[in-house]
Amino acid sequence: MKPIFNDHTPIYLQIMTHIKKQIVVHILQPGDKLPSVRELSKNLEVNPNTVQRAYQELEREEITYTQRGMGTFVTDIEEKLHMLKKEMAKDLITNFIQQMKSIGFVEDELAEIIAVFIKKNKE
Amino acid sequence: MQKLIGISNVKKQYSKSKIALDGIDLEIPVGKIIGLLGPNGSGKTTFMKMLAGIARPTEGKIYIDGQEPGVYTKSIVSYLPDQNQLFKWMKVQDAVAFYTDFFQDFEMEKAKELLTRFEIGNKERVTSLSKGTVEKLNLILCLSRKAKLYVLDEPLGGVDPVARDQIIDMILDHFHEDCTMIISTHIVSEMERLFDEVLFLQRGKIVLGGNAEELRLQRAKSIDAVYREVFAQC
Amino acid sequence: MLKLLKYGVVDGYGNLVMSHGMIYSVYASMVITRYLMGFEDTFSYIYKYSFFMPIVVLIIMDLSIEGAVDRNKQMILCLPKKGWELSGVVLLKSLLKVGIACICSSIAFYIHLSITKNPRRMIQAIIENVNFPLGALFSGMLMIFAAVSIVSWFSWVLVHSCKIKHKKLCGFFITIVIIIIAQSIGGMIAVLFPLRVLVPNAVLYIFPLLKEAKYILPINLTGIIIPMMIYIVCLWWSARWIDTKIDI
Repeated sequence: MKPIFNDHTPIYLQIMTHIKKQIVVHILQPGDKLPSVRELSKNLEVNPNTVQRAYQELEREEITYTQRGMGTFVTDIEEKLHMLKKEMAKDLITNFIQQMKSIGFVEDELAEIIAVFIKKNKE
Repeated sequence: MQKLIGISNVKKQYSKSKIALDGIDLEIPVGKIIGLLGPNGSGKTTFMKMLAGIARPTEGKIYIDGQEPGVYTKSIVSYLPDQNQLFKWMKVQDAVAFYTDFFQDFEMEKAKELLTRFEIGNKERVTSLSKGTVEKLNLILCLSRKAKLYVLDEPLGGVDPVARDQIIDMILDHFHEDCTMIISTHIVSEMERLFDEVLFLQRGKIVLGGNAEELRLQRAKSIDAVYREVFAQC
Repeated sequence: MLKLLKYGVVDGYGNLVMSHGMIYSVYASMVITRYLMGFEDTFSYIYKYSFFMPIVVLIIMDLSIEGAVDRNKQMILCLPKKGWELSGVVLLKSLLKVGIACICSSIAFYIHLSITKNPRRMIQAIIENVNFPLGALFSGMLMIFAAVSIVSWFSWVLVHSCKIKHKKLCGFFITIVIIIIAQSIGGMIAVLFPLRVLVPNAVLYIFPLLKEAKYILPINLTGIIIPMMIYIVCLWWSARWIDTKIDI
């Protein structure tokens, strides 16, 4: 699953988001080894230093950890992974609310709009 | 971070009216890929030739690994010129032999492996290869040297999109933390993700420079968009 | 240095141009020396031997063909080689050419002798006439091969080290001028202070037919040494400029 990057946000952030997504949907399982910096940089056609930065940030956020000489691994701390999913949901929701507001909807309307939409989709 | 290149107040003047470089001050560390961006005539090629040691500044100094351009720097700098400079009589194997003979850091096995991978026959004449293939050949020769500095002048010039991808792949493959790459291009969109730092060169001066990711963050734009912005004025 | 020789890649403005130009240069140097030495028939000499006009036309045509010379030299100059190494190769190349020219002329000479009815008389006539212009012509011809490589290399380095416009044209004319001057000076000094040498022609000794006679090739060494010294000075400067001034 090769992500399509936009070039107007820092790429390292987009790489982080991409990896987080993979973790959340279990493409990357807890304890799985991430591809090496070189490998990933080649796959994504991105500067290795950029990948390195993404990995460093992920480690700072404690989503991954590095074992010297072995590589970078997804954390197997369940709590962390829960938090990750929650945070990602939060980002998406914030973004959604902002976008809806920008086309004229009010916050109070939103919950209802979503419920109706989901119901319709089920039919 | 270890400094590889130091450039102070470098100018290049061909005649009273023709000033190619007008006061460049720069320090470039090891382990980075630098993008040198600018329109034709901005001084990119002149700058690269100076790093390669075949052109001289009219004023100012250039230091590569502590030495001014000369025999030593030529042994640690691998230059890819913007136009093919291989001899017309050469076949691919002659070009490989040439590099083997004159560059101690040339890794012949690596070159051969790449030539096979890109299906470039050993016995083919250089003049009979297509533009994209010649570019790939030159890049293979350039990157098969284990140099400290790679100076690539328009590596994607006039090359089809498939070959461009292959070239970008090759560049990434060969980059390692003990070397530095300076790549000039005006096909910014395809290459911008390779760059750690970018330098915008206009009429011989650096008008903008910095970390690529920071620039994206600050301006909420791609480097390509910044390029268009910066150079639309001229 | 030998590897550079092996590839044959260190060169001046291209042999195609120079081989035409050099015939003209040698001829011109002969004419000038003749004039300076007071020969009255100099101008009729010119009319008689005005074969150089087509050569000039060929030169101009050649100049327009010389396209990739500079770029190929760029490749050489990117090599981690010192100036003296590159210029040294040019010297070796030209000496090789002179050597080959000697061997070829020996073989030609031998063949000529073999088919002549009276070789001894022919040799005698040659020895008696080892003087200008034959001596100058011969040493001049030998020098063409050295001069072609050396001086055209020097003028290429010169035009790319100093602020000279119209590089190709200037380079070409600088080459011609240097050779004319060098050969003329050499020619004059050769007449005033000849150092005639009778070089035993090794090739001829091999053949039993010629064992009895002393078959020799007469040369006026001054006519070779003086221009060669001038060309070596040119090479020395080119070596210096490659290290310090060359600017493509």
